[in-house]
Amino acid sequence: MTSLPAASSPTTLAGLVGRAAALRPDGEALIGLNRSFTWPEVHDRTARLAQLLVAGGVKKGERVAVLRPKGHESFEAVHAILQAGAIMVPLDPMAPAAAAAAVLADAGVIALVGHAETIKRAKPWDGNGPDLKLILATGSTESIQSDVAGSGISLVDINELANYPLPERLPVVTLDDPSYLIYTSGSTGTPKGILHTHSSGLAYARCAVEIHQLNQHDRLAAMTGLHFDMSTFELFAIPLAAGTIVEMSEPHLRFPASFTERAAEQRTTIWYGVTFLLQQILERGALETRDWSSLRSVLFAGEVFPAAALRALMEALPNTVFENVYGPAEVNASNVYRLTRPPADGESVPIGPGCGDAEMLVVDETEQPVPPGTKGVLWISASTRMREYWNRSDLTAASTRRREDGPDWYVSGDVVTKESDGTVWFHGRSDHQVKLRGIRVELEGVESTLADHPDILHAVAGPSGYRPGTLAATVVLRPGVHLDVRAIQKWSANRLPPVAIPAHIDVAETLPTTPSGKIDRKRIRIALAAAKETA
Amino acid sequence: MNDVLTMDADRELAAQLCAFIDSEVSLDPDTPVKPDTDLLTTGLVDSLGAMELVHFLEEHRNIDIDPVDVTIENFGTVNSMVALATRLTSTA
Repeated sequence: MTSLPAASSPTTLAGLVGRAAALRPDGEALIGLNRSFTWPEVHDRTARLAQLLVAGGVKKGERVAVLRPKGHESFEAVHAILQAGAIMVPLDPMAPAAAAAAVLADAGVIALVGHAETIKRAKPWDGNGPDLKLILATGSTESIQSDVAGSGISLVDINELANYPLPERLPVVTLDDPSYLIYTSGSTGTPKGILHTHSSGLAYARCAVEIHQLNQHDRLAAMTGLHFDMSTFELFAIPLAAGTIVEMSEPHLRFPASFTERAAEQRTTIWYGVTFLLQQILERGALETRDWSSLRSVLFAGEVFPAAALRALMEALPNTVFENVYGPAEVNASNVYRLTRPPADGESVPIGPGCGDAEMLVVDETEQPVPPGTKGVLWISASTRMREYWNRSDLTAASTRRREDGPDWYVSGDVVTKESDGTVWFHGRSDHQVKLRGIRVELEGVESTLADHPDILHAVAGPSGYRPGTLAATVVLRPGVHLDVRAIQKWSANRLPPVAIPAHIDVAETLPTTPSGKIDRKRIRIALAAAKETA
Repeated sequence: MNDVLTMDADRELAAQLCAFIDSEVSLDPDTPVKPDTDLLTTGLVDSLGAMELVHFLEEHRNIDIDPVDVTIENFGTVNSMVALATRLTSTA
């Protein structure tokens, strides 16, 4: 049974906050770090912010980025952008300026909603945001006044939102309109934008509410960065259920004991996090010292949860239901598997059947369907699917298939088997994409970036055996050059997302080659993954 | 241990921590760390860097840091790490 009221179904993502405010006029929406906000308060604040965007010249379909530490203001910024009819582009507040600049330029971002200190680090002036004409900022806006002056960008201080008017009329938004554009690592080192619509985002929210039975009593511990696609759960599914979001700052996510302290104190009922973070919480979260009587459900995603660690976490939280959630950002979450017992050592957990209207097709190398239980590449058809890769019709075409008159399929690149009862098992990738701490990294992208370093001739990167959750690389240096690992890491910090900076780098004189004379990347990657610290 | 010696030892530990973060943890070559630099909101120390700092403190002061003490409050700045180490040293 779902707890969604049949009446007043929202028509687009832009209507989610207003509907929650009508359903729960006294209900807590966001528990911020310093104070909490009711749904009507959030509705009021997002509407004023949406009006500021419209008054600032933002038109329907234009891109507006969010650049600030996570918190109630980032949630409000997202919904204000949607209500203004613009396309929301979340940026990683911790990413180097060059990474933000690449997204601002590729997406053609017109306006930025953020926090002055975070914006100052990204330097969206100086040509880094070529289309930018408006910045709405909290924090000490005077600290960026001189940077903005003369750049042609208008700066509006939004610390006191109540001083600004409510909108008389906002653009009409329909289901077919694009809603958000989220960037992920690309195989050439250039990030690619995944464009979703109001329709695909709302379909995901409905699917999540139904399958996890989200309701008004749910209190979600917000465990993912805004720039990460898993955040659509807190941004869209929780408002649809008119539940409550307990905000966690980025430091809370890096200090498990601080996370568990707040999650327990705030009586959270549901967690949705990447496997890496949940393992950190298991190891360092002092779980045994807290009261978990409120926690009904833990959802994990991003990568395979090692059986021993998952079992230990389930035993530490014996009254909590565990669910494995799967889905590339291109289709939102498409599969859910509810565990009935902790896994035995070495036992895998399925990614489950498709949820909602999601259909799974497994094909062989000739793109023909394989029999149940046979390995192949997973194609997904679902109403939660993206529209396209932003300005990359080549990538969109390469990842889309149609069979006869059937639906469009998204080619996931994941190797799976599907049982006759619909249960899907994940076995790996058909390309060189890996997950590190839950974040997608294309190894070719890292390698081509490293090979741009003046000292490096060749580079091969792969998940590290030295320190799980990080990358290691083997490089061939130019003659006469000595390896300076820290120098390469610092150089990479301006070009790669933090998770993709190799934590370990070793040097080889030459690299092994395949019979056809290519660098045997597979062999080197196996060696990197098997490596152990010898010191 | 008298107070003057404690203060000297604390100052030394703070200097060692700053140097350690600059050379081994931080990826931002333009921002040398000071004892009161906010390490968390600036992103200077990520989840893996935090564990390196725990090990550094444990080895330099010969203490055990319980997971429940690895918090935002205790690791937000070099000064707060030194205060934690000193508290754990005196109760060891």
